[in-house]
Amino acid sequence: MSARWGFVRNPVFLREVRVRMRSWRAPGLIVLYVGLLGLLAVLIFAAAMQGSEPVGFAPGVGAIIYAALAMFQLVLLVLAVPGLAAGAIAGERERQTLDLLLVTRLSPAQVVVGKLLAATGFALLLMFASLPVFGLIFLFGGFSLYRLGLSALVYVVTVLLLGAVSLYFSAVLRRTQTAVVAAYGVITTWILLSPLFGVLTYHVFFDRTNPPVWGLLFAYTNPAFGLAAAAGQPLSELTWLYSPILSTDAAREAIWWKYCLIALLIIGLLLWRTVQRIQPLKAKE
Amino acid sequence: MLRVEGLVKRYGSVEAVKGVTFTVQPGSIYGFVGPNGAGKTTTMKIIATLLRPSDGRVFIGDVDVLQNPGAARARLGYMPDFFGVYDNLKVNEYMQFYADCYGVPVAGRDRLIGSLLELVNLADKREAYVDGLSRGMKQRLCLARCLVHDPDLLILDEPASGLDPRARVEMREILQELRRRGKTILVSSHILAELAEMCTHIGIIHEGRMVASGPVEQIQREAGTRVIEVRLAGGRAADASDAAGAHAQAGASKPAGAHPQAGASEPAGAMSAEALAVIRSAPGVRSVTVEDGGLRVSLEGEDEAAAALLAHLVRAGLPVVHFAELKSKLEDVFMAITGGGER
Repeated sequence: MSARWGFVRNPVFLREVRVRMRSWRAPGLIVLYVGLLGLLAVLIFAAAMQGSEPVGFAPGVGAIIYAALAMFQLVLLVLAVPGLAAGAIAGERERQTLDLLLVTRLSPAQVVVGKLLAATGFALLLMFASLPVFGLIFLFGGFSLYRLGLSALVYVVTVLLLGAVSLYFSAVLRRTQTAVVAAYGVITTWILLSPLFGVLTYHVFFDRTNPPVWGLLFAYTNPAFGLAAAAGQPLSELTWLYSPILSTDAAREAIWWKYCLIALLIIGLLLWRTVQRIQPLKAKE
Repeated sequence: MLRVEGLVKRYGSVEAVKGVTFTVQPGSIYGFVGPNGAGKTTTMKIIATLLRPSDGRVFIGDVDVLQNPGAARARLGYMPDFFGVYDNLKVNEYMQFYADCYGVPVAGRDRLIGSLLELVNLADKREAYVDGLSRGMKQRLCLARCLVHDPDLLILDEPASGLDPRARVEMREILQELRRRGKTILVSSHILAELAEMCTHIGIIHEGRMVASGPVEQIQREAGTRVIEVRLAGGRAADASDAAGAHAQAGASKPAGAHPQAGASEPAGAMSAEALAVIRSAPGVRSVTVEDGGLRVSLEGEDEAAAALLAHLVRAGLPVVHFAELKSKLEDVFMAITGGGER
C-alpha cells in the first residue's frame, strides 16, 4: 500500500465513520446541535424585534443573530471536539487494540491522521449541518458571504486545533478519562483565561503607550479572537481589547489569519509529537 | 526464518530479557516455554516490532526487524496475549478493516476472508458482531486476522490462554493445519502440556535467559531425563501413595488422563513402601512417582542404566510385569532444566 493511498483512503478513518454513523447517536447529535442553534436564532430574533414592527430588511438584527450564532457555534465545537478526540488513542490502548494496529503496514502517522480526521470530521459535519440556520440570516441581511467564508475557515482550523490538542493528550495519557479531563481542562482554561491575560497585559500592568508585543500571543492563540476578527461587526469589537498595540482596523482584522497560521503550526507540532508517542520503535525505554 | 541474537531488554535497573538467542527454522512450530514473567511476551513484542530492545538483533528471513520494521511487519502476523475488539463491528468488517490496514488488494479479498474464516471455523459468523463472540471465537478471529496478509511467520503469544479444553484442541488443530500450509509459528505458553503435542522445537526461557533451545527430542535428551514405567504384579500397600509422594521430585502434577490404560487395570496406591525403597536404591534413579497405578522412574544414563535398573529390580525379587521407557513430557524436561521453578 502506498503511503499516499493510506492517507487518502485511511482505514482508521473509514472504520470510525462506519461505526459512528451506524447508531442513532450520530443523527441524534446532529439534530440536537442544529436544533440548539435554531432555537438560539429564534430567541435572539424575538428579543431584537421586541417592540418593533417586522420589516424585510433588518441588517442590525441579522448582524446580531449572526454574531450570537457564530460564538455559540464556537462554544459547541469547544465542547464537542475534545469529547470526540481525547479518547481516540487512549481508547485503543485501553481496548488493547493499539498494538494490533501498529503491527499492520499503516504507519503511526497514518493512524494519527486517521484518528484526527475521524474525530474532527464529525465536528465539521455538525458545522456544515448548521449552514441552513446561518442561511436564514440572509433574510435580514447584515453580513456578507465573504465574512461567512472567513468564519468557516477559522472554524475548520479551530476544530483541527482542538482535535490535535485532544489527540496529543490521548497519546500521552494512558486512560481515556484522564485524557478527556486534561484536554477539556487545558482548552477551556486557555480560551477563558487568555482574554483575561490580554486585559491585564494591555490595560492594567503595562504602559498603554508602549505595550509589550509578546502579549499578542493571547490574541493569536485564542479561537474566539480569531473568529471575532474573521466575522466582522459586531463581533470584531472584541478585538478592541488589543487596541493599545493593534491600533488600526487592518491590524485587528489580521488577527484571524495570524491565528490560523499559528494554529496550523501548533497542529503540525502536536501531530508530530503524537506520532512520536505512539511510534513503537522510536523511544528507547 | 527467525533469528534472534543476544536480545536484551532493560526496564530501568530491571533486566527482563538477558541475552536471548535462538533460531526458528522455516516450517516449524517453535514452542516458547517459560513461567509467567520469564520474558516471553517481551521477547515476542520485540520480534513483532512493538518494542525496541536495549541490545541485540532480530532477523525475519534476511530482514533486520529493527532496521526495517515495515518490511518485517509485512512478513509477520502477531497475536498478543491480551487483545480487544471494536464495538459495533461485524466479523466481515473487522477482517476488511485489517485487510485495508495491511494493504491487501480489494480484488479477491472477499474470497480470501471467506477461506480464512472457514479455516478458523467462523464462516457462519461472518455477519455477527465481533463483540458478541465468545472468547474462543475471538481468539480464532484474531488468528484469522493475523493471516489476512499471508505472512510467513506467526507470533502467537499464549493463543490458548483462557480457553476451555475443546477450544484448546481446536486451536491446536488450526496451528497444525497452518504448519501444513507452510507457515512458521512461534507460539508461547506457560502451560507445557499445551505445546507438548504440537511443537517441533522448543525454547525454554527462565528468568530472562534462554536455558534450552532446539528440537523437542534433543532438548529431552540434553535434559538427561528418561522415564521408565514399571508395573509390578500383586503387591498392595495402603499408604504407598504417600510414601511415593514423599520421594517425588518431578512429574508431581501430570495432566489427568495421561495413561488411561494403566489406571484401568491397577488402582493408584498399589505399590508397597518396600518396593519403592528398592527402586530408589538403584543406581541412576533420580525419583520415583506413582501414577495411574504404575511407577514412573526418572533415570539418568543411557540404555545400560535402564538394563541395570531392570536387573536390580529382578534381583530384589520384585514381580516386574511391565518395564518400558516413556517418552518424557516437556514438564519433566522443563523441571529438570530450570531446577524446579514455577510451572
